Amino acid sequence: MENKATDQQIDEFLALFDSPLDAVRATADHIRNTWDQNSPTLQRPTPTTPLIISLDHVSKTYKVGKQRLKALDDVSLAIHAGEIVAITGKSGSGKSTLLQMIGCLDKPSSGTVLIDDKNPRKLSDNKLSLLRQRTIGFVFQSFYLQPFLKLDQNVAVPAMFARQPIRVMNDTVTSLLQQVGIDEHRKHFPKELSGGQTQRAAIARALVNQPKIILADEPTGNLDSVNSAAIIDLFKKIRSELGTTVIIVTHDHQIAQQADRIITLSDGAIA
Amino acid sequence: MIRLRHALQLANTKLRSKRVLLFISIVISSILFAALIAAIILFTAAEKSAVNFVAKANNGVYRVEVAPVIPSSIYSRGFDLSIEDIRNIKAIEKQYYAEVAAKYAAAGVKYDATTEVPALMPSAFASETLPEEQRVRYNFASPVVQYEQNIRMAAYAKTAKNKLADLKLVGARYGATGYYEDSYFGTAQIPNMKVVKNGKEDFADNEAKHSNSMNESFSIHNGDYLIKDASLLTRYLLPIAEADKGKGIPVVVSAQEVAKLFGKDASIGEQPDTPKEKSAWLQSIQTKFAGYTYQACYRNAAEIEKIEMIQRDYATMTNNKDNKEYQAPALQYNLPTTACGDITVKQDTRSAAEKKITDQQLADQKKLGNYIEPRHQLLTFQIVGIVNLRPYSLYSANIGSYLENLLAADTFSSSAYIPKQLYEAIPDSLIPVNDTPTDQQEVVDIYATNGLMPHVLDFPTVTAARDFIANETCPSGDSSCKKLFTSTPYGSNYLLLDEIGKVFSKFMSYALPVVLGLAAIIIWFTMMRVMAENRKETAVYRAMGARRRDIMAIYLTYGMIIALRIAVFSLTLGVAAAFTIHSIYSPQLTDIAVASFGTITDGLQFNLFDISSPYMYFVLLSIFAVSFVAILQPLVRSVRRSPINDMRSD
Repeated sequence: MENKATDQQIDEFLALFDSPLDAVRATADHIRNTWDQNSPTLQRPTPTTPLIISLDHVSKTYKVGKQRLKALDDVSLAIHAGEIVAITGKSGSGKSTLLQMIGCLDKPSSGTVLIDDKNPRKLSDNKLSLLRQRTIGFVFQSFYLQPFLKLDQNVAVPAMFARQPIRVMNDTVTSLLQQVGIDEHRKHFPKELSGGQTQRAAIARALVNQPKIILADEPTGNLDSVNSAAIIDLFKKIRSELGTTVIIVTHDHQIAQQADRIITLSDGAIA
Repeated sequence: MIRLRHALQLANTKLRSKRVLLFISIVISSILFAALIAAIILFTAAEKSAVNFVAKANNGVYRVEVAPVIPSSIYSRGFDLSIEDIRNIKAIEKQYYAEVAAKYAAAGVKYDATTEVPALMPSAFASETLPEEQRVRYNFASPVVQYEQNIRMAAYAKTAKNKLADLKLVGARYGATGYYEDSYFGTAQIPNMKVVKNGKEDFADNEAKHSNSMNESFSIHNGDYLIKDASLLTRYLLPIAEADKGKGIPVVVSAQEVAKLFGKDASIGEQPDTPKEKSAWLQSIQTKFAGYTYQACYRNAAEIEKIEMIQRDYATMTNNKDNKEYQAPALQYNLPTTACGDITVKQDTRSAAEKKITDQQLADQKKLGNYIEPRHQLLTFQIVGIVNLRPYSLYSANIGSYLENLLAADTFSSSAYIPKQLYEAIPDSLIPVNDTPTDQQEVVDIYATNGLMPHVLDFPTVTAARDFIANETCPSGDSSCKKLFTSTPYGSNYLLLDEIGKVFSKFMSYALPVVLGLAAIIIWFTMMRVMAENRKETAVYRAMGARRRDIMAIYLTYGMIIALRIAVFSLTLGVAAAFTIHSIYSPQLTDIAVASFGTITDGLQFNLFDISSPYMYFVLLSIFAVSFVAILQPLVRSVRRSPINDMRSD
């Protein structure tokens, strides 16, 4: 569990701004070593791991014209640290809305969302941004890499917002690119890569701030089955090595089957 | 918050979107600002060059001619006379003729009261409702009118608060020096002169001529010379070898008249048209006629009167050649046949009685001290300075003559000038005897002896001159002036330059907001489009933990990159345009300026290129300011958007 950063650890991490260079190096080494250890202890979380995400009777209603559209209807769920959870359902079933609740991009109309023990509803836009920055890594179906930035720069973007020390940022980016297996393309632009490689870069980007949660919205939607499988394997590897919680929204049953748990949504409620 | 280098990195990626729109808006904004910058460069240089020429022409001082305001009640001879005025005038008239009669009595000459001319005459314009006594006006033919005015003037002078001493107190507050006396009336101090050409005077060409434009003058022809303080003429004075100095009465005359009268002697034609030729023409006159001497015959008023009488008699005799009843005058004269020769008697068939009457009249005049012997004197003049006359219209169609007016609006009147100090230095033998009757000079004397003549003041700076003019004086000719003095800039039109400066500031105060406004709209529109295009990316950044301030930092950096590009383009474009205009027009303008000032300018150039104006840097700064302002509104709108909606629109 030591890889899951607590608030205290984040604070310590941020304190590195003022640290001597050695300390910065040490941190980067630590990150690299963690990857290299390939620890087997995190294969599958026990129910004893702490709750990282909990939704308690969460509903979300949108106003579309004069009609009220219930996107989420009394959803309660609990996800423990280190779990891989698949969220499935037909389109319009509310899975994107649920993802946005968990991703702190949206606030519920009623009910309580707790992300890493924090209630997004009570946070200012600024604090909410910081919560996303430090706790959540996003992976999108269309990758959303900046077409005019090289891969290593693309991966570094969230670290730029987190104002990581430059040296730490460079080291982190390098090890992440190695880990996702596209280090030789670090100076390439996204359009020079295949879909699978692009999504690997996007995953590296999601990991650059060492989040506790990865939220992947149809991460294999634009990939063939071979690449899809590889991406799921990558998620598993990340979970086992970093203890990261991975939430995958997908309508692909084969992908969902790979998860520890499947949550199926239907008409905004858990089926 | 995001580091500047990363903000720059991300802002740079945005330069790749909406590239055509971005290019167009940068080009248009740059052209707008470039025009402004070019205008500033050109104007700053033009103003500085003009000021340099003006300073050269004015010996580094800024001159103002100041005249005391004399209340119109003192000098005007109105038609609406009050009862008191009329009674007062009548009393003075009585006194005047009593004095004349006493003078006759003292001289033992019989006084004829019928020769008196009444001071007042019936007025045809007087209102019928007025009493008979008041329906009169001044009779300008009466000597009493002048006499009465002199009394009024003398009385005014006693209490006047705007004499030279008063002027000096006021001028001292503005650092004025100089106080050169000038004349009110432009009365020729050495009148009645005929130029001697080819060894003779041309009596047929005796009429005074009047110039129709500021491009010609007849000062030498008319014998119209004014004595003026040499300090006021220095800009026209030419270098003359020491050995050649003092060969005659020193004069400053117009290049135009010199060319007309003496041009053939030096193979110089009339004034050409183009600035380049004009400048060369002027300089060749300055070179060839420095120290040139010519002669003129001075005949006093009595002799001029006699010559005019002879000419009249000749004309009458010629007209009546075949008229049997016509009787030719008994006394006939010959006009002088040699240059400045004597008038000789042609025939005298008068009777002894006739002669006796004439002799008696002459004797009486002599007894009364009124007789002036007709007299003539051949005078030599030496050209010591050349002035270039300029066209007068301020609204000329062509830029050259506009500039001439702008630069050299000159107070040089149609007279030729004699520099006082140089005049006083020449031998007495060259100086004409002044026998102008004193009563013709009386008014001038009252002004002069009381320090009420106009004076020319030197100010150390344009500002001092302008402030003095604004605070202490009315414009010359302002009849409703409530101040003690009137004034007019003297020597060249430096105040007009100042006015042009104000006009430029005014122009800038309109042009700058318009350009800034247009640029703001263009940049604003572009930013709106770019941000709209980048909405999804912004949402993704927000999802990745970018705070609003991070997004703002990126876009503000982006805006500043664009502002920098506009600044660089507009500066390059503006400087290049101004330099091109400078290269094309500067030589031409230098010629015009040299011709306008008519002074030897020591290679002074009229530049159109000067980048020292703070305005220019203000414009450059404003490019950044306007970009900042233009980006704020769309930016605030952009960061307020919910990232969810923008991500959903996939």
